[in-house]
Amino acid sequence: MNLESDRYRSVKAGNRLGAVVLVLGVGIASQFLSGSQLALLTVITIYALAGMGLNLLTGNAGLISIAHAAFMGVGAFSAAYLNVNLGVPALPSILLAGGIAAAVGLLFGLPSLRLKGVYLVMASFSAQIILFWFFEQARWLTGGEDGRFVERPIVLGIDLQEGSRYYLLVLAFAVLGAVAYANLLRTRMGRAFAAVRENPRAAEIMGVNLFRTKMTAFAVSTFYAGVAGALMAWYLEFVAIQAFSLFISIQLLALVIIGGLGTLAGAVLGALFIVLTPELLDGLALQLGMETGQMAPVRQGIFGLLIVIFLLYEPHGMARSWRRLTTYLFLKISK
Amino acid sequence: MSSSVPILELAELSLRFGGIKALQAVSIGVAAGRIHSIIGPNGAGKSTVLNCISGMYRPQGAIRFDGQDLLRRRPHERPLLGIARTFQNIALFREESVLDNVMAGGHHRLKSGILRGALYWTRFGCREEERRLRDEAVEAIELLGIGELGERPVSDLPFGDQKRVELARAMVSRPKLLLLDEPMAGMNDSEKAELAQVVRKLNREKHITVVIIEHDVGVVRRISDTVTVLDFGKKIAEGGPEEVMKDPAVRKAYLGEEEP
Ligand SMILES: Nc1ncnc2c1ncn2[C@@H]1O[C@H](COP(=O)(O)OP(=O)(O)OP(=O)(O)O)[C@@H](O)[C@H]1O
Ligand SMILES: [Mg+2]
Repeated sequence: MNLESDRYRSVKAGNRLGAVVLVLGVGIASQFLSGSQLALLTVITIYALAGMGLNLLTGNAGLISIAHAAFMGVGAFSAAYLNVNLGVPALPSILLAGGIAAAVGLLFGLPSLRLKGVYLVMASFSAQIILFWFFEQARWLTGGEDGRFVERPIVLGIDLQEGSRYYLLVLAFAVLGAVAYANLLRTRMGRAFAAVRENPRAAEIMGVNLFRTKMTAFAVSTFYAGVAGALMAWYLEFVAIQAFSLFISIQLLALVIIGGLGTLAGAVLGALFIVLTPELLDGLALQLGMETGQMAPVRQGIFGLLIVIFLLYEPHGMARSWRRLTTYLFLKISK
Repeated sequence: MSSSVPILELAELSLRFGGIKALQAVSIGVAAGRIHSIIGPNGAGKSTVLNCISGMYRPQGAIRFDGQDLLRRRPHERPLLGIARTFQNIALFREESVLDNVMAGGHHRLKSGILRGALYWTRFGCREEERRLRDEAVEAIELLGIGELGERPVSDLPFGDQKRVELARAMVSRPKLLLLDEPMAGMNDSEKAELAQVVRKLNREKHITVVIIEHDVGVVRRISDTVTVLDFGKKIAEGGPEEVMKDPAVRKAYLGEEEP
């Protein structure tokens, strides 16, 4: 068409190339990382996947949830039960876990038809409370407060005991999730989500069925959470229900807000931030000669402060800064 | 001249908001293939009529469109039946690009859900229908002279361009009946003339019946086949534009308004 959109298109193509390089790079690097580095990378990748799911719901469809860790929990324990207790193969277990989380998500999404904003947050708060209470009670499933052991599976004949092999499974799901997310955003349902978020009244006049669209957003979003939870269970091997507490739910919400609402890059950058910042602060504290006991509260304080600073100075999240940077670099290079 | 079979019939519509009688037994028949203007002073109930047709308000009375009882249909069923509209105070998806906004008008015509969306470029994917819709959206914004704004977020655009985006979005829904609520507000005379040209073109070439609310009497004279005049929620006159403008009741209703 014209110059502006040509540029826009080449920046987009550049981003796509960058994403491919990133995935290949991470995949190869993961095979050479130390144990603790690999652990961080795995958690980042799983959170990025869960973040995409929450971002679809909150960033794109405008429906806030502080129950996503609980939905991850539903996926985690479903997969564990299916695979370990019932002997269902790993890949179907993961997908079924996503499906079960989606079914539960749909149920808890029902109030979104009537509730908006802060009231909807409260509804998801009660979802978190109810599900967590269930995790505590259902010892047959979760081991209750003692937690439970989940043995890593053999997938397609490959034993995933080795962390670096297991990571490739995680990466594969994250990439599939990312591709599906990016595709959804640019097609009919993605536009419907945005319409529901931006102007429900106009969305309806455009033919968008509000109820169906919101339910779809809940189902897809909690499917992502369920799959991420399943992957988390096998990564942890010993699963404590605390991994799916309200605190983690709020961290996930912070992840998408800081990373950038409604974008794929936002989910990835947010996961990096959420996982790495505490680590970096720990490292820093060690350098300064602080003791572990003193560190924890200071770390939490600084972490919280960083979040506030972010909200003040980059309310659109890291993805916005990232896009400015890459667009700038790309235009520089392509000149 | 096309047939005068009414495609849209409003029968004895009444609606009140608290003490305000926004509509009082208003009956209007809109003939298929015509451009039908609704005029009247501020607060006369013009927008309320459109809101009743698009299902946002539930009035007393009856609304029939193309053989259907509209009051029994939910708002999101309107596009499927062939009704599209624009809003007086702009109802766009502000953070989305112009093209995404316009493409949203095609929502009811496409079929793809989550799976076909996620599988975009595979055999089961929805790439083909998305591309066709995109081409149609580009065509619509080019017709409205905002072709170069496609990738811009609509919140950046001036009021007049946002109005154009709304019209493009309504066009992409391929309606039989197009409801326009002051589509030329905030435009100068030459812009108004261009837009009037577009509305005419849609009416003549695509056989879209148009109901338009417009304050500019000059524009109304030029494009309307029929004019309905509302005042304080009542219909005070109806007929061809020249005939209506001569009506003493209409002149009286407009006295004190900015324009005669
Ligand atoms: N949702 C609502 N709640 C309360 N009152 C309303 C509502 N919508 C319209 N009204 C009232 O109904 C009357 C008719 O309003 P309407 O918007 O239809 O007027 P209009 O003819 O479109 O005027 P304008 O030329 O200013 O757009 C006004 O008195 C208005 O205040
Ligand atoms: Mg009005």
